[in-house]
Amino acid sequence: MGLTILIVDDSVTVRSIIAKTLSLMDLPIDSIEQASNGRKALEKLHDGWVDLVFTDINMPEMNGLELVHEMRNDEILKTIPIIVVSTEGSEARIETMRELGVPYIRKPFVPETIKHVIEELLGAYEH
Amino acid sequence: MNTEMRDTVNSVFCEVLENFAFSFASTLAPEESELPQEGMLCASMEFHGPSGGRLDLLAPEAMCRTVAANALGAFDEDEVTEETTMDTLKELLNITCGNLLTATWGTGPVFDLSIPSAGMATPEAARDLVGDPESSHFVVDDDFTVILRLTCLEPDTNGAARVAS
Repeated sequence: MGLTILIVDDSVTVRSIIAKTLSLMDLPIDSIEQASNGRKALEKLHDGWVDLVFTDINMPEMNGLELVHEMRNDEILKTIPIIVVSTEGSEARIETMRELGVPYIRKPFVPETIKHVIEELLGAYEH
Repeated sequence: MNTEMRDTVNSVFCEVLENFAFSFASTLAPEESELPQEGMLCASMEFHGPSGGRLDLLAPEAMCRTVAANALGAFDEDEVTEETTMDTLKELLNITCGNLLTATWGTGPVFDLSIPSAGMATPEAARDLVGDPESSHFVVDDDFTVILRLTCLEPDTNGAARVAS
């Protein structure tokens, strides 16, 4: 059974770039879901199982940091790997994510960075 | 804006554009700017933290479509929708803002960024940006003139921001 990946970003351009990058990787992907903010992402996460979440931070309604905290405090969602893709530059916020086991990719990114982080995360992750 | 700050704004924008969309920008003297009268888009956003400010970006719609096609790896610009064109301009500004804050203030301070907004530029808004001596002028891909303006804001006593003198 392949992976279901959720991409959360208020930019349709960024969601498309990440989706395209993933589709070109040698990953067993079943489906790529998309959401434009944390609130909509949570709805999708409660609708069906997701294996990996990419999220931006700066989004309307519910931002990425709030989404990460909501997921980490949820008994079912807390084990899902998350990768933050953002313009965030604050070391304090990046460190907070590190402590939650969430890798961080800074925009703008190259596809190889996404590939590298996924390999590290899923390689070390037991499904 | 002092020279060092302007150099940072200019270098960050060129670097972001190159890495985000494989497009190349170089600075332009204001008198060399050639902006079309129509079809200009404008995006704006604010940041708040130890220092506050606002960024405005004015660009031809045709350039935004090219940048979107490059970023998405689209073979044909006709694949790029109007929504994606506008969204790409907002994201270009968003990434520029995030990288500019780090380049200017380092990784220590925490900044909150607003959600970028964008729309068709009115002639008045375009003239305001083009004529402002604080604006940086660029030529992108040897073809398009783009204007970027950083306005620094200072918090006043009741927490609101005002334009720094």
